Amino acid sequence: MGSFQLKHISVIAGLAASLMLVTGLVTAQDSGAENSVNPELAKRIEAGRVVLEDRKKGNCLSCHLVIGGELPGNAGPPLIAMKARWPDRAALKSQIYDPNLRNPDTIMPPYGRHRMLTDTELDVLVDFIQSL
Amino acid sequence: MKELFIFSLMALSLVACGKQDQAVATTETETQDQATTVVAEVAETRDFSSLIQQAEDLYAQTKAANHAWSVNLDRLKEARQSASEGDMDNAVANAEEAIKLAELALIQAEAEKTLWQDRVPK
Amino acid sequence: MKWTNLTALVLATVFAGPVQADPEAERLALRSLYEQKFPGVDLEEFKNGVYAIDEKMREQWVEMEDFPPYEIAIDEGEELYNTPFTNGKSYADCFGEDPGVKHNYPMFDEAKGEVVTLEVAINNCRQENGEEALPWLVGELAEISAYMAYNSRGNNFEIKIDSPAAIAAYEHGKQFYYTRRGQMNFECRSCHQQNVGYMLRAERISPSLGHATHWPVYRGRWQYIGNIQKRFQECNIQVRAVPFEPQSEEYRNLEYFLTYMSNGMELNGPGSRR
Repeated sequence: MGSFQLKHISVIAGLAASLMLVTGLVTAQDSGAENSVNPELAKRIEAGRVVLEDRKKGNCLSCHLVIGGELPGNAGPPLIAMKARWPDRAALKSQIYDPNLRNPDTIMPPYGRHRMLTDTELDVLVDFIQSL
Repeated sequence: MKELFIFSLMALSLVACGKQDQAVATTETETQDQATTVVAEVAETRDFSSLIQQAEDLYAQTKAANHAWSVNLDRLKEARQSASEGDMDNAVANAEEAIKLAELALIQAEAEKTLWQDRVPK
Repeated sequence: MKWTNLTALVLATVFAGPVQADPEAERLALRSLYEQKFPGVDLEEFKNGVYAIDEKMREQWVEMEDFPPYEIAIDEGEELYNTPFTNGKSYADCFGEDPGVKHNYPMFDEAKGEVVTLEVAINNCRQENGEEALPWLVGELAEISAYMAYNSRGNNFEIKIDSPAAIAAYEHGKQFYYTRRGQMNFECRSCHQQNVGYMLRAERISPSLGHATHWPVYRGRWQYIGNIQKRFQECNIQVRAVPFEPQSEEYRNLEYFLTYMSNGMELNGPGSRR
């Protein structure tokens, strides 16, 4: 389809590998550790998923691939292995709050600065994204 | 200067009211309670009308700057609607949000006056 | 190319400062931007919009063009165009024998000092002949535009910018295109240059080169034919900005700029899009 898709292809390839690794680890751990998942955190992660998918909230799938998300776009990088790529919560939150700080020319909307999401919504969204 | 004058007048009348209230307080406590409720309601309405006025003015400014946001208009409409239904808490909350959104739209309008120039492919 | 000299002259005489508007250089720069983004794609193909870069969508589109959904609009438009006004005159008295003039619009009206789109010219013609203006975006006006566009097919766009006032209008439209707007903080460029070809959900983003060649358009999402400024409004709404009035100065100047960017490309309207 042309070289314009190259923008993310290397990211996807690298991430696919790490994803397989992570999935493997998670599956291995899941059997014994399922009950030890903090129920409070699980609730926040679920709330964050709703914020991410809701077209009137994050609508993140419009541009970002998320495993299991329906009809994802590809204008932004896929949200895979996010804990590894964005280990620092505050940095990730800041990136969603105002991505223009890191890249003045980005197309990504300033979700916090322009009051598209509340602070609580940003927090649970970060929880969900870090779980990816 | 004018504002200062008006402010002094308001302060003076408040003090006067206070003294008057004290004078009648011992004999007519119940009436005073009712009056306080009415005064609070009047104050709330007045707060809202100045808030919504400010929100309308700011929105008009964003429109004039060609940078009006649809979400700002939505908040304004909901504020008016809630006020007409007597839901003053929601009315005030929406007017306040509208003001914040309008301020952001004006910041955008100002910044974009020059920023666009560097984006034209050369 | 003759206007290039004129621009130079204007720049030398009018703008002594750092303001430098060179529409032709900017048109070429935009072409080379898409050339770099889509090597191997013939730039002239962009008159077909996103179908120039998406084979699957192109197949569906070509199939749809076997029975074009805008055909009825052309027929309706023809009848409207040829129905005389109550004063006995007709559109031909305004536009000449050949209704195929769309490739010259929008044009800058030096007497009025403003951009005149084809839709404005049609309504001006009506009002000068004692008829009421038609609604801007859809309905009869879009049908008349469709008929005129159909007769203009095969001509290359030839938008002229011949005076300081015309350059100012072009600049104004250009500024609109490159300005972030709405709560989402998008420029036209954000999608149509920076992320052109990528997917927003299931929609591939179209290039601005060729954006103006195929209007009016029957859009599947609308289920009817509409003019380009209806799409402008839609774009503005999508980024959560309050849309401008149809045929406002902002949209007329934007259409002037955007159509100039497609100068030299073939007019192939009316068109159909998803």
